[in-house]
Amino acid sequence: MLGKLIKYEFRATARYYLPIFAAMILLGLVLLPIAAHFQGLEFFRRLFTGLYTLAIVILAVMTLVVTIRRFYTHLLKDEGYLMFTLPVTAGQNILGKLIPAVVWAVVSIVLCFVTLLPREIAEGGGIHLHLAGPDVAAGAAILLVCSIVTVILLIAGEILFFYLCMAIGQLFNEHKFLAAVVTFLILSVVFNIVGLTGARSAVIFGTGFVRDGGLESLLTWATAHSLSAGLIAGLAMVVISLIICLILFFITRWLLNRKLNLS
Amino acid sequence: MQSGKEANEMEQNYVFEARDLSRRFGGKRALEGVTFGLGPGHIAGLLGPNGSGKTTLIKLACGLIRPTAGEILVCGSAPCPATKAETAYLPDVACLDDRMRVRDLIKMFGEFYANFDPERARTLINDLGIDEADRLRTLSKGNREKVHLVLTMSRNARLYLLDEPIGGVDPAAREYIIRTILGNYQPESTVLISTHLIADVESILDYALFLRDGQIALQGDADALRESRGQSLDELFREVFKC
Repeated sequence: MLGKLIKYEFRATARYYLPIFAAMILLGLVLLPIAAHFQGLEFFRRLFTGLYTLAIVILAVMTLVVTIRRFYTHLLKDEGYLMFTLPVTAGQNILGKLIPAVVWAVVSIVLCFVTLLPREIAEGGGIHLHLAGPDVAAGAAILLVCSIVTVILLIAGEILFFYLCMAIGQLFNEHKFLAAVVTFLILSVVFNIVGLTGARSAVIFGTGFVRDGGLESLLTWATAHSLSAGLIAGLAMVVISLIICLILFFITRWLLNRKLNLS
Repeated sequence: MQSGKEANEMEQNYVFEARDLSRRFGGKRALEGVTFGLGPGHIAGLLGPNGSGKTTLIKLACGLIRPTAGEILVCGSAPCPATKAETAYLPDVACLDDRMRVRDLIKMFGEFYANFDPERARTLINDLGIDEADRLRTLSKGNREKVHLVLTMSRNARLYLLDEPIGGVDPAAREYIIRTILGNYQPESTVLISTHLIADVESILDYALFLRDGQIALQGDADALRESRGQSLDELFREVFKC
């Protein structure tokens, strides 16, 4: 059943994402390199750069809006009467929204990198790694994989935090969305007050860690201590992110199971 | 008098059962001490004025809300995905994604409900003169409601919960709705129709539950109630709920 929920969610949301993805690929991988390659196309290069930047801004805003809107209107408004009477659990309903939202967000990020890459290479940028030996390389590779998994989990955590705020907001009989926004603000402030610094709650550990230079020291430490250190550090990041996701998921599931309050 | 075994068998046979069921919203009582049982093969009317607790009872049966006290059982179990698979629910709000095409809705119901009969749905949709390629939002409000009724009644469910299916529609549409319910429910299943428009459904009901202020004011076999009171259910309703 979860597979079917995910399929329908992808089908319903693809119409928002695919046109923007197509525009980004066209601009970033076709039009911009052509305009940059030929002399005398400066106007077009600027135009395409502007359009490409606009596409990224639209994608960022749209990802946020679609993610929130799909959960709110499809589960907590009138359509919830259908979704919560399908033979599925509340957890499956949450995952049915979460998994496609994470996939779209990850694809968006990857697409940004991929479409920016030709320009980076042309301008002599790129990633240069100098690793001391095979053990250190393996440690760094593990850390890199774990970092990617952590980023995906933190994206999921961020989305789950929105879901949690909406699940709390729907407890109110009126102005449910406003209540969700207020919940979001209050929880964000609370998390900051209790010392879990970060832009928003789900990335409290991640952003706080990176901002405080934690990632850099971790990498230094891991590369100095080779494979096992990379493994431990990487797994620690994954486990912490996973715990954040699980806590947010289970609280939201409990609220939708026990305290669902459809209008 | 029933033996313990017979009583137990009857109890197990209930498709829909409430035991001392209560539900409060904050300090406000929506249902209080509701107890009844409906076996298979009934078309029951859940009758009461607005705010009497009809929708709350149906939402409890669908697992949309939880009881504050007591129990509600569908096919012997508390509401869960398994009971939802056996329950065909028509809410009193438009809850289908109106951007979807009718044919996609038929496909979707077929994928989620193993007991959904897509051929029956297509036949009923064609009878209504609705094009399966139409998006729901391009249809009139009345036709959108009919599409949802068709999807609900195209399931071979054990319990049909129809919340105000004839509320807010014209007399011709009421007739269509009642005909569709009668023509498509499974004889061995149970249908519960919530309404305050008794006269329109009286002829098809064989059981009646009168709800007043969240409590059962009167319940029983429809014919027995008519005979014992010498009144139609509609007249009885007016008497029970006299302002």
